[in-house]
Amino acid sequence: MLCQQCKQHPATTHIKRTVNGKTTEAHLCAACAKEQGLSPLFGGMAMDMNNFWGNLFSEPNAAALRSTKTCNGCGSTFAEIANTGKVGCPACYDTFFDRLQPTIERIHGKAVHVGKRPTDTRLTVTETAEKAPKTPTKEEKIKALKAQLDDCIKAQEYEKCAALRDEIQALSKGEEDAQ
Amino acid sequence: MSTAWYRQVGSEGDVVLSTRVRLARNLTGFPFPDRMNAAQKQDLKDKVFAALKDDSESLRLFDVAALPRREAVSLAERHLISPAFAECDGGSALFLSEDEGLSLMVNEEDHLRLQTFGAGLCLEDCLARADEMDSRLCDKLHFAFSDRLGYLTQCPTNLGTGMRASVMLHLPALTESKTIPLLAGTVSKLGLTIRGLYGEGTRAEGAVYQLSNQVTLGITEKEAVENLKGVAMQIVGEERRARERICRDPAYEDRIWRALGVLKTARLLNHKECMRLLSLVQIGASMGLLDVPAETVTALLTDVQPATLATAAGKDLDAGERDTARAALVRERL
Ligand SMILES: [Zn+2]
Ligand SMILES: [Zn+2]
Repeated sequence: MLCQQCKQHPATTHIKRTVNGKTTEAHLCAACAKEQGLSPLFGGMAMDMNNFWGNLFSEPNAAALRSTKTCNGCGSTFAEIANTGKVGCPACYDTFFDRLQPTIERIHGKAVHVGKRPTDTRLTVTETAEKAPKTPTKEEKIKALKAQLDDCIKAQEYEKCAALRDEIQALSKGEEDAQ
Repeated sequence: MSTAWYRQVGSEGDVVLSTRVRLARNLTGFPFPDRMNAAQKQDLKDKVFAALKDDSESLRLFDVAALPRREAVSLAERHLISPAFAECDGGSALFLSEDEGLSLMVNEEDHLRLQTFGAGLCLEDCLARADEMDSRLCDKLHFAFSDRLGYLTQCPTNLGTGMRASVMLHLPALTESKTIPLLAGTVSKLGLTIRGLYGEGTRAEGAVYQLSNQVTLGITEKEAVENLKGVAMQIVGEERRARERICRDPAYEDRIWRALGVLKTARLLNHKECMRLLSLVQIGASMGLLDVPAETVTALLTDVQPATLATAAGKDLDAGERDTARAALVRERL
C-alpha cells in the first residue's frame, strides 16, 4: 500500500480515527507521518495510544498539532505532548487545557476532582477556564481571619490578635444585622 | 525467615493474595520525569531526602541503579517497585520501609510514587498508611494540584486522586472454567480492570490476576476503594463456588494430588510449570484436600521467581541452574 499523502513511499503508519462514532483510516509513510507529528505515537505502544489519543485527530486538534505555542513551565508544544502521550509539566495542564480536555474526558468522563486535597492551598494551580477571580463570601472571610487569629495566638502576637478579633466581630455583627 | 507481607496469608487469603495502594504525586517547579535532566532529577531527589529526614516511617534508601540487576529485579518480583523502575538509571531512588509495607519511588513515571502493601484483602489499612505518609510529605513538598483536575500527573490517566488501588487475586477455578474474559468485561463497566500478573498479555501464569480501579477523577479515594472491595468480594465468592464445583471432579482432584507429587520430587522445575503446579496445590490447600500450610504456598509464589531465586543464591543463575535451585527450594519447603 502506498502512502496516501505523497503516493510515493510505502505506507507504514496506519491511523484510525474515530470522530463521533465514525471511524476513518489513514495510511502514511514514515516521513509524512513524522511531518504531521504522528510517528512516535504509532510505534511500540501504537494500539493503546492510538485509541487513547484518538480525539487528537479531530479537526480542531489537527490545527493544535501545528501550533507553535509553548508551555512556560517546560517549553513543550502540544504536538510534543501528543507524540509522546506524556504531559510535559504541571503547567502544561494550564497552558493546553482546552486541547487536553477531550482526552481527559474520554478517560474519566466529565468529572472534576472530588478526592483529597493538599493541605497547603497556596500550591493550587487553576485552569484558564476558571481564572475569573472569585470574591470570598463573608463566611469565608471570617474563617480566614479566624485561622490568622489562631496563628497569632500561637506566635503570641497579641497586638495583631486584638486587631483580628475586632475585624471578626465587625464582620459577624454585619451578618447578624443582615439577618 | 522474613515475615514480609508477601509471605503472609491475610484476610480472604484463600483467594486474595495481597493488596496495594499507590499514590502518584508531582512537585511544582519541575517538568515531569520524562523531560527532566540529570541536575533536575538530583535537585528533586535532594528535596525528597530532606522531606523524609526524621520521618516516622524511617525509610531506607536504595540506590536501585547501583544494585546487582538480580536484586533490582527481585524487588519488582516482590511487587515493591515497578518492572520499569528496576531498569532505571541513576536519576531515580527508592525508599523502603523496614517491614517492606511501604515504598516510595522517586523519579519513576511521576516524581513520587508512594505505595503501601499488605497481605490478603486490606484496602482500608493500605489507604490509611499511604494517606498518612502523603499528608506528611505534603507538609514539606509542594505538590502540583489543580482544583478541577486534582493531583497533576505525567499521564492523564492518573489525574484526580492519583490513586491506583489493586488486589492480587488467585483465580484458578475461574480460569479453569474460562470465566475470566467475561469477568474482565463486567469489571470494566464498573470502572475497574483485571489483568494477568505473570506471563504475557491475557495469559496469566499461575492464575494470578490484578484487579484495580481505572478511574481516578471524579471519585474519592474512599469510594474507589469501597467499589474495588465490593467487586473483589463478589469475585472471591465466585471463585470459592467454582472451586467447590471443580474439586468434585475426580479428574481435577487427581491433578491437585499429582501437582503436589511433582513439586515434592522434581529435580528441575521451570517457572511456568512451577507456577501452574503451585496454583493447583494452593487450591488443594484452601479446600482442605492437602495438608500443606497456605503460608508455605504463598511464600513460594514469590520465592520461586527467577531474580528472587538468584538473589537468595547471591549470584546470577543461568536457566538450568535456576530450574535446579527452584526444584530444590520447593522440595525443601513442601
Ligand atoms: Zn508519504
Ligand atoms: Zn509544561
